[in-house]
Amino acid sequence: MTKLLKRRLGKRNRKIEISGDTDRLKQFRLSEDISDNIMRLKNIMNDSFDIKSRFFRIGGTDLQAAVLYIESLVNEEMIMNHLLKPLILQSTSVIESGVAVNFQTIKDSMLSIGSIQEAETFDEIVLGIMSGDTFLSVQGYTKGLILSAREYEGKPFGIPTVEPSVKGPQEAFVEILKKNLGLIRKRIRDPNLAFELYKIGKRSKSDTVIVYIKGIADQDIVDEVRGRLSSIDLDIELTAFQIGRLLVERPNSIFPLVQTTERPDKLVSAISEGRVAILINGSPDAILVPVTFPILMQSVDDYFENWLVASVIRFSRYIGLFLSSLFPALYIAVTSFHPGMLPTSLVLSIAATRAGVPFPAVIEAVLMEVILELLQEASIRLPKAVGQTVSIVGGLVIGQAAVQAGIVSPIMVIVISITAVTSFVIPDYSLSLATRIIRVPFMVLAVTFGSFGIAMGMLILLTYLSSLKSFGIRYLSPLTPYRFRDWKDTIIRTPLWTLTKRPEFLSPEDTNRAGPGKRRNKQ
Amino acid sequence: MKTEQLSAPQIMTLTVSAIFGVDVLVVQRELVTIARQDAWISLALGGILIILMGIVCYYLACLYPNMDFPQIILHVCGKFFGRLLLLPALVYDLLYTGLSLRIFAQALKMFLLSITPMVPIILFMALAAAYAVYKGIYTIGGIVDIIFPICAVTALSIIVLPLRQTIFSNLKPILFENTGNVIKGILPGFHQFTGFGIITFLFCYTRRTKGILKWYLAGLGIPIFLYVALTMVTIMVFGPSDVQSLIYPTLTLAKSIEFPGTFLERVESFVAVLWIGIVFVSVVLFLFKSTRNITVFLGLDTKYQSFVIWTQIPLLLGIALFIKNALEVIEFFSRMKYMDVILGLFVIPFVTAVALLKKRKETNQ
Repeated sequence: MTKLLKRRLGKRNRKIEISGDTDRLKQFRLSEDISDNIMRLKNIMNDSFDIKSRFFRIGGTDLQAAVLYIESLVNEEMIMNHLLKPLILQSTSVIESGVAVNFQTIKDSMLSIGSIQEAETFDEIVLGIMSGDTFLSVQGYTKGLILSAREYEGKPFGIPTVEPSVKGPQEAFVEILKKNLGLIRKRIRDPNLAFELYKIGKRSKSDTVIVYIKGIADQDIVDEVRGRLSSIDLDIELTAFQIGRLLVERPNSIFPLVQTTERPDKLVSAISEGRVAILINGSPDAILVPVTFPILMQSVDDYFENWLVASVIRFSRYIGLFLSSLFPALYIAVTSFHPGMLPTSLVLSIAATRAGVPFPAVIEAVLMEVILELLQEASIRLPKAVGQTVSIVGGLVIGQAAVQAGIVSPIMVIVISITAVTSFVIPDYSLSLATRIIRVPFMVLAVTFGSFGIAMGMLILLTYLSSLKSFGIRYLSPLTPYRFRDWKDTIIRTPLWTLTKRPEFLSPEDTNRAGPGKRRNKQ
Repeated sequence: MKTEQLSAPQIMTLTVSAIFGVDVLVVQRELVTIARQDAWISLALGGILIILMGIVCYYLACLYPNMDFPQIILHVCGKFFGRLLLLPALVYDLLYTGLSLRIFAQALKMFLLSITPMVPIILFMALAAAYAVYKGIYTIGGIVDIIFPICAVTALSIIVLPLRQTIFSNLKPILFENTGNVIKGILPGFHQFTGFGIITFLFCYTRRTKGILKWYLAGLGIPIFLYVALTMVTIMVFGPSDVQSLIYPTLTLAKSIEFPGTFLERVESFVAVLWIGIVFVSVVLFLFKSTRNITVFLGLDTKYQSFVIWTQIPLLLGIALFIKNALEVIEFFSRMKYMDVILGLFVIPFVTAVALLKKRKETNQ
């Protein structure tokens, strides 16, 4: 019998295999069997772990009912006090007074919830649940009730501190997983949004959730994430950064092979492109995989501005990256090896500023670089107010004093200042740190081999970057291999209405982001 | 995880990079010595021959899509005779890589690092190239994809920027009582495009999509166009007599570029820096070829390939430093490239013909 029921339900469930949006569910109606309805709804919503259901009897009668809701979006206390309690306990008095128990009396007399709406088809029910409503199904009726018990609206969430943006949402993840999932649910009402729960850490058993959109994310990537997450053998799992380090192919790489974000809007945008996110209870950051170098150079602000402005800003970031890694090395190479490359007047001017400086350019650069690193580290460790003082003392006073004392040349102060400023334009903090690290080897190469050393250093770095992979995706994708379609959103960003396809390099199952008829937002 | 494969556009970039190399610095010299002002015609005719031979190479690769050149040659011609045919290709690739490193170091000393000894330059470049080969063909594909636009823009700049100084009459008279020399220049023109057969090494790693041949032909066409244009511009700027006396005509051409505003005073230094990338990918691809050749020639398992890569370094250093005189190196380099003519015009067509017969026999059976 059970087998028969399962087969029957399985058949029905297969019928409502959906992809894309809830519109396709319009044709499916509720059945009289509540367990059938609940199972189908769960199936539609990928059986995500935060979807909760409860079967019960109304007022001690034989009439069965069930509720279904998404834990991260509702106020469970409200459901308990205004839905379950009245239906299970308080309804007995209504029944004893002789009122017949049916769908209408449940709706009119037994619930103390403000907004109630009848629903018969799966599309409106699924949309309601995804929006944070609670669904009530009563045995024997082909219609149900959508009850409003939402909680997420107006709740205080964190403010982005590591990834601030000028425009756009100012919400950030917090340490509580349920709230973070709610922030994602709030933005995506697609039943294909899947949450898969894992317990990581032998002792901590931390709740870790894989988030992706079924039908968009490449199943190979999802399977790889599942596999790697399951194989983590940790005593206590603490933060997203720790997990990120354990998930990557090359843990020793100084370049970030997973992306961490504190912004729900960034996470939503990433999973809508076909990437996979990992959230951990107790960590206010999410991990996004796979990640590529061009992705790390993108900022959320790029999508809030006109495409031309965004493209120029993004391109300037690449210039910033180049200068941040190479500017001191280039200065050393040109002054020590190839002064003839520069115009004579500039060479003379540099030589004049360096007159009296006792150290060669490389020692000057290393000295200033060390001071800069110490200042940056000090300003992070100290409280905000004192941190600013350190910056001023370090940047202005020490710099000026060093020049006046003749320890360093003014031009070197300019070089190091430009290097420091340009390192701040890199949107990803981990990538910015990587550029700080590679600066020193480049200086060593510059002082040994001049511009040849820098060129060779760049080629070795390119080889290294080209060999890196993040969850099977080449780190330099889509710059290489050439995927011309994906270049629309790489170093430059073309108008939003041209970005109708999801990035090809992520191998999304559904490649279309929007149909031709949906390109109205021409900016 | 999905199996990784090279894309069709990567066939183009890899082919261009295999053909470009140190040759770009000296391509004009030898041809102008033979065909004088008509050197560019010899080069163009050599280019046409390259396209024909390229199609043969492509056809050979298609016959055995899961094997690379050394594997095909051993499979088609048998273990003994195959090795006999593979040996000149192996020696050629090693010589080409070693001498490329030497010519590169020489030019670099002349234009950028006058006091740095040659050995560290050669060693540094060889080790970096070995590292890239060690990382595998897909990594090489990635490097080449990034460097290709830089190469193309640099080459185009060298061609376009000196146009103000060109004297068209330097190209005249065209084919006047010089046809014999032009024909004589076809074979030297042919060997300027050494590396064209890289498709036979890449095809087995490539995603089978339509248009591989189209991209491969584009990969052959781009260097042909650039070399011909470069030769024409060099002749037009310096005249055929002066070109013969220039050791590195391309760098001298870059030296002749004058920027208004004098922001850049020594353009040739910048060209030399950008050219490092061009030589690097060329050396990487030839080292990759020689690694595959040696591995298959010695019948080694692929897991020993990394060992083969690093053991070639001392050998390359020896080849690079074997000849003392700078000019003799360039002369030997030009003469040595006739080996490629033999390989391209005889060995590859022969192997293809045998492969065809073998395939036909197999089909009949």
